[in-house]
Amino acid sequence: MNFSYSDFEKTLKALTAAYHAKQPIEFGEAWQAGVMDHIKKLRPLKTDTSIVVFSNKFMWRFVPATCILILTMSFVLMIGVFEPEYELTKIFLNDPVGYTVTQLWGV
Amino acid sequence: MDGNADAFALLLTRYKNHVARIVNWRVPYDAVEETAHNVFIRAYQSLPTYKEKGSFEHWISSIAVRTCYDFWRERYRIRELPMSSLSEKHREWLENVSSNTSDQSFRKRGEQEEARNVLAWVLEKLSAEDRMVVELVYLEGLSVKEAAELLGWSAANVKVRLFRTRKKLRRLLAGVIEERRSV
Repeated sequence: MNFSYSDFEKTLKALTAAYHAKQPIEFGEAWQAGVMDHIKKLRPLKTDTSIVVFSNKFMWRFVPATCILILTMSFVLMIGVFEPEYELTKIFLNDPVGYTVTQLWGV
Repeated sequence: MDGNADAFALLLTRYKNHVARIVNWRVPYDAVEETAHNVFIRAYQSLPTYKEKGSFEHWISSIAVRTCYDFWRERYRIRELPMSSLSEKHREWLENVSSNTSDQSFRKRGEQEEARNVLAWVLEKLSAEDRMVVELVYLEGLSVKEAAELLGWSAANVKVRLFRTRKKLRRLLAGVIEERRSV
């Protein structure tokens, strides 16, 4: 490559100088008035703690506890302590009428 | 401020020059006022999330940098303007700069119109993300950590981008200069 590392560094230096050589700009009163007009047209800022802000702030704090709970429940289901089919059959055999009524009512 | 929009005028007066400097470096002249306007609107809307841990100046700088980033993302998405190309004068400038040795000369040459056009051409060839990284780290001399904080990215992301962009930049400039030298 004809374009060496030092060539690149030199070019970068000159480009940096060009970047900083840009004419400074100042905003006048009209610009400031324009921004303030726009701001006044916006809805006022909500400084009270709404339920959304509250939940956003604190929801994430419960994430570890939720994860632990999900893992524990998954583990319990996996080792077979809770077997839904078995439990349902047991309820039906113990109280067939009550079970049928609750099914009919959609409970 | 307690939702008092008029109180924001004080912040606007105090920080408008600071924001003007940040925006002026990053966007074309014709878009500076509008972009700075958007910076203050965003700052006003984000005030409830401002935590008084860091300085307000740093907070508003970060908003200004991200607004400029959004400006370029939008500009690249629309691509309403044709990409500029390098004239013979620009190519000559590039060749002279890369073969010169004096530090004073870099500064002098950097002030030239050609320098600004070449810079605009080079930055135009980069994506909005690469552009921001190059401007903050190479052209402004911020550290990777500072750039990452301003952009709200991870330091690793900035480092990787910087590494790739440096190679891309070198390839771009080498292409122009070698083409000219071979003529």
